[in-house]
Amino acid sequence: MEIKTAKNNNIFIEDTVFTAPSFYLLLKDLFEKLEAEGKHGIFYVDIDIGERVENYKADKKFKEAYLLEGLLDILEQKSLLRRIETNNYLDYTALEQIFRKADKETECIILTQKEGVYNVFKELKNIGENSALYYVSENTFEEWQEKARSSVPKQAFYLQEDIYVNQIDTTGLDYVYSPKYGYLKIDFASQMNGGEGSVYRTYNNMMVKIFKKESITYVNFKKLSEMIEMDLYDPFICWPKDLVYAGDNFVGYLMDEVKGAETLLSLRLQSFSEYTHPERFEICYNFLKRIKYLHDKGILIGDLKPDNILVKSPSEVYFIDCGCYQINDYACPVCHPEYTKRVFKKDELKKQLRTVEDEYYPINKMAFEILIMKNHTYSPDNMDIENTDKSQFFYPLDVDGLDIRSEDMALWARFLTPSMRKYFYYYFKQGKITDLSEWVKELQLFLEKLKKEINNNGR
Amino acid sequence: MEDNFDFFSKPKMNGGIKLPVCLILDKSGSMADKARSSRGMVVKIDELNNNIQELLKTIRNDSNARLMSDICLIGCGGESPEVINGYASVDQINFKPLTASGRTPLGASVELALDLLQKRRGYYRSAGIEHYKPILMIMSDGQPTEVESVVYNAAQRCSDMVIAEGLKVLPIGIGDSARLDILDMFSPNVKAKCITNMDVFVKLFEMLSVSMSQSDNTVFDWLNDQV
Repeated sequence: MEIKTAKNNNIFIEDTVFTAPSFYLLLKDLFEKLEAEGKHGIFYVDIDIGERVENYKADKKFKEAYLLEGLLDILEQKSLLRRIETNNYLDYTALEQIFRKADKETECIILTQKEGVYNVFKELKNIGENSALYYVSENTFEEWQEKARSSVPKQAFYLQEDIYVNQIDTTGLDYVYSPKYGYLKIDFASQMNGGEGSVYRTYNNMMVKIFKKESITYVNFKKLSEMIEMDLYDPFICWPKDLVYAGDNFVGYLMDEVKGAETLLSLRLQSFSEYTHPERFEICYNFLKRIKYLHDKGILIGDLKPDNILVKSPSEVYFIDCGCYQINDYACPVCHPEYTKRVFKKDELKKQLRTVEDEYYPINKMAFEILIMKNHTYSPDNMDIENTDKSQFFYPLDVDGLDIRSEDMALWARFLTPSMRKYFYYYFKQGKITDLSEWVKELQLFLEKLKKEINNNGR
Repeated sequence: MEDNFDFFSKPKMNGGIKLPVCLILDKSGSMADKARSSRGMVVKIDELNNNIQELLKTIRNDSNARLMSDICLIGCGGESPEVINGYASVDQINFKPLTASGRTPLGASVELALDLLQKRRGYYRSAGIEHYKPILMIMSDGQPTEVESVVYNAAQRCSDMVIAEGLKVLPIGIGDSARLDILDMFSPNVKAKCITNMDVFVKLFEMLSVSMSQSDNTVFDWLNDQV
C-alpha cells in the first residue's frame, strides 16, 4: 500500500527501516511522489542513530552500516533530516510535540520494523486526525495493526472435571516406566520439591518429575505429549524427553540432568561471589538468548524464576523444569509471587494463558538481579523484598554526578551501557518493553567490546 | 565517587538476601508434661528439642535455606524470657536442649523478639542487605503468667506490625491446654493452630524449612489446610 501523504509530512523513521530490503527504493519513490505533487516532507530520526552505524561496523555488518550512513547523508544534503531524542525509542515526548503541532494539512507518519517501537509509539495514532504507523513489507509499506501478541489474555485448554486420567497417589513410588527408556528406579535421596511435584535423579543422567496427585491431569498429559513431539533442540534447555507411567497411569516426565551447576537463586544469595562482573554480564547474555530462542518459537516459560535456571559456567546457562512452560494453548499453571507482576486469582493460571508482556516482568527483574545483584526495588531506604511496590525503581536515568560509593550504584552508573539503563528504567518506571532482540544485541556488543579491551590490555 | 572499582574483579558485596526467622519456644514447667504421639506418650519439651534439632539439620542440608535463613531462638520460661541464640546463620547456632521450668512470660518474650527484630533490620539497612518479610513463630502450650496489660501491649505491637506488613506470625498452640484465643491476639491474619499430636511438629518444621528455602508461604498455606 502507499503511504498517505498531505501537503506537509512529518516522517519519523526508526533505524532498522533504513536497512529493510528495498526500503531505499520506497524512499526514492516517496521523494519523487512528494516532488511531483508539490508536497513537503521532513524526516526525523533518533538522535543516537550514528551509534547504530558504528554498531553495524563493529559487528562487521558493513552493508547495513553503509546503507544507513548513505541514506542519512542523502536526507542531510537535501536539508530534510532532523534528529530528535527518543531514548532508544522508549520516550515519545519529542515526537509527541511534533505531532501535536501538526495542522490539518500535515500528515504525521512513523515507519518502524520493531514491535517494541510500535507498542511505544502507537498511542501517537490518537493524536490528531492525520497520524499513521507503517512497516516495510514485501517492497511496500503496510499499516501496523494489532498483532496476535496482544496484551489481552487468551483462554487456555482447561477441563473442569478430569475424567481421562487416573489421579493416583504418587508418594512412595519406587519405579516408573518410560516407553523410550524402560523401567527407571527413583533415587529418593535426591528429591527436590516444586509446585506441581517432585524431581528425582534416576538412571543414566536423567531426572524424573513425578507430579502430585492433583497435577496428574489430562491437560498435562496432552501438553507433555506435544512437547516431546516438538522440533526443539537446544542443549541448554532441558526439554521433556519422555512421559513416565506407574502401571498404566501417567505420572510425570523425564528430562536430562545438569551436573555441577548452581541455581541462579543460590548464586544470587551468595552475591555471585565466584564470578567476576564481566562473567555475570555473560551469564545474563546467555540467559536472555535462550529466552529469545523460546519466544521465537512461540513458547513462554511462565514460571520464570531463579530456581529454574542453572549456571555451570558463564557460557553454560541451563533452563530446567520445562514441562510447565506455556506452549500452544496449554497454560503454565504455576507462578512465584515475587517473579509475577500481575496478581493471579486461584485457578486463573490454569484457565488463562499468559501474554508475552507478562513474561517481560521476570525477564527484566532477573536480568537486573544478575547485572546489579540487587532487587530492582532496592534503595538505601528499602531493603524489604516482599513488602514493596513492584513498580518502585530508585536507579536514575541521569547518572551525572551520582554518588557511586555503593557497588550496585557503581555497576548501574559506570558499567551498564546507557541503552541498558534506559531499557531497565523505562520498563520499571513506565512499563515500556524493550524487545529481547535489542537486549541480546546490546549485551553481545558489550561483551565483544570487553573482549577486545581484555585482549588489548592483556588482562 | 568511587574510583578504585575494578570491573574485572569479583563482587565485593556480601550478605546476599536474608530471611529473618525468630522462634519463641515455650520452655515453661508444663512442657515437662506428656502428650500423645505415634510413639505413644512423649514429653513435650523432649519432642520440641528433637524437632528444633531436626529443623536446624534440614536447613543446613538445604543450600538455599542455609544461605538465606537468619535465625533467632528465644526461650519462654523461667521468670523472664531468654535469648537462646541471637540472630545468626544456621551454621553458627549450637543448640542445646531446653529444660522445662518456671512460668510462661509470653508477652515479654514477644516484646523481646520484636526489639531484636527491629535491631536486626537496622543492621540490614546499615549493611545494605536485602531481606524477606520476617517470620515470628510463637509456640506455647499454656497460658501466659503475666499481668493482662503486658500480654495485651505485646499483642497490640505485634498485630500492628503484621497489619503494616512488616511481619508474618505463625501462632502454634502445643497440647490440649494451649490458649488459642490468646495466641490469636498476636496474629491478625493467621488463626492460631493447635498441635495435639506431636508428630505434626515434624511436618510443621519441614514446611517452615521449605518456606525459608523458597521464600514463599508454604508453611502458612499448609497450616491453613492441615493442622
